[in-house]
Amino acid sequence: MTDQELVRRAKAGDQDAFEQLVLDNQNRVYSLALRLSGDREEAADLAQEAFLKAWRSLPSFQGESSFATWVYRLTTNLCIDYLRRQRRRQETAPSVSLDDEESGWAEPADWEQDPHRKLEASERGRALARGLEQLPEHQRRPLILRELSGMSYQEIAQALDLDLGTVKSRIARARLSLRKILLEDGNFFDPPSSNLTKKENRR
Amino acid sequence: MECERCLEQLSARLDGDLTDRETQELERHLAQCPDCRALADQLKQLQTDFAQLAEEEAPPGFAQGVMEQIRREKRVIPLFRRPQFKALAGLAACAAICIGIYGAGLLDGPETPGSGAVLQSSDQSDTSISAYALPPENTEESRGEIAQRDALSPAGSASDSTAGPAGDPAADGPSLQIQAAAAPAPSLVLTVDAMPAGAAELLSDETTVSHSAQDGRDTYAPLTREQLDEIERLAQEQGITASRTSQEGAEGLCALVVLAG
Repeated sequence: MTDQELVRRAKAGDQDAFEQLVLDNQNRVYSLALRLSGDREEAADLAQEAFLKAWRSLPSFQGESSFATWVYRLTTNLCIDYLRRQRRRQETAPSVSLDDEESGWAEPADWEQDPHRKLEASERGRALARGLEQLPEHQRRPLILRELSGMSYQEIAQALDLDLGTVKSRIARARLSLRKILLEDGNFFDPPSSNLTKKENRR
Repeated sequence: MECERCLEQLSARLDGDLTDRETQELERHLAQCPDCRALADQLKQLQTDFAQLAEEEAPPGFAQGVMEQIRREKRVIPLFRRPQFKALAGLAACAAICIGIYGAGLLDGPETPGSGAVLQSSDQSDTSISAYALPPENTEESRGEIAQRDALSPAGSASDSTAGPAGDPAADGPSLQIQAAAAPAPSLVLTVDAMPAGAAELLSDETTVSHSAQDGRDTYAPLTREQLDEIERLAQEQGITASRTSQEGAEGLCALVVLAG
């Protein structure tokens, strides 16, 4: 059955059709929530919330985009709200700012050590996923919003409450870090020339 | 251009965020800096690779959990507005007339045990009879709906110890008073001209509806402050007139009044 047909049935109240849509999209939605929240439990909650929201808003879904794109956007918005709430909590409880690039704050990444299994993907796709896990959150979040959610710099600045220049530089930094991680990981790019590695140390 | 600045420009170029002048400047630098050219290629490749990014697997039983949640909060459409209800109410009215005629016929003839009871129920308002005539529960229907129906049914009210003085529908005549008399008064009431689309889905199982036959209003209570805010937002989005009134009542307890029934 096509997505369109599933959506049509789900709109008419067919729960089995909606369940199929959940099954088809759950990994992408969960992965996005995990990459933005950095926490497996939160990610599962956010992903569930996204599908519940999709179910409730189905009557107003006009099919102007695919269901996958739509639910992805709902997920992004829920994650942004979650990050906002988290920022407010951190503001009220005085602590080291997690967004301070110079604080040397290390990624807690409870999901890094997890012996979870990566879904079937190309070696490059898996390497990239591993690389993203190692990025500090202040770099990973803007990059994910850019590359996976397709947001503009302006939208990202608004979502993460940063100024435009910071967004731009963090995304650039994130890409550079990712490249470095992947070079060290091996076989990601064509073998780097020696002067590139030297240059890397300078940066 | 310095290589440091070049990185940001390369990144911005990938996102289509460079002006023509910046692009020219960047290209001049790339033409003379092999390191940055290599970096440009790698960053480009990195971006392309996002298309094949490996996904994490959702936790086991995830979809099941979502569906359970959906069934739990299955939208509560006000009972009186459901087409099935209206159709059944009509059917029940017919049945009531038939029973009435049958009962009257029996009275004309020799007395039979039980006929008095049949007649008595036909004397009651057609609401109570329509409640009797409702079909067996759909297993998927939420507890809230069952509660509403119980409240409607005289048998339910009689056996329900929590039913207050207003719980006797026979005394109220035909009006559909299902408000729990013991419920505390809400401190905040939102009055809307019509139920905004999507608002019914926000109501929880705890919220019950009472319909006033006099002015055609539907009153939904109790509601949380969050639900009220959300419904007000929906009403505003949909151009439905909504107004708030604060009154003496239980803190945090809200109610929704829908004018057009």
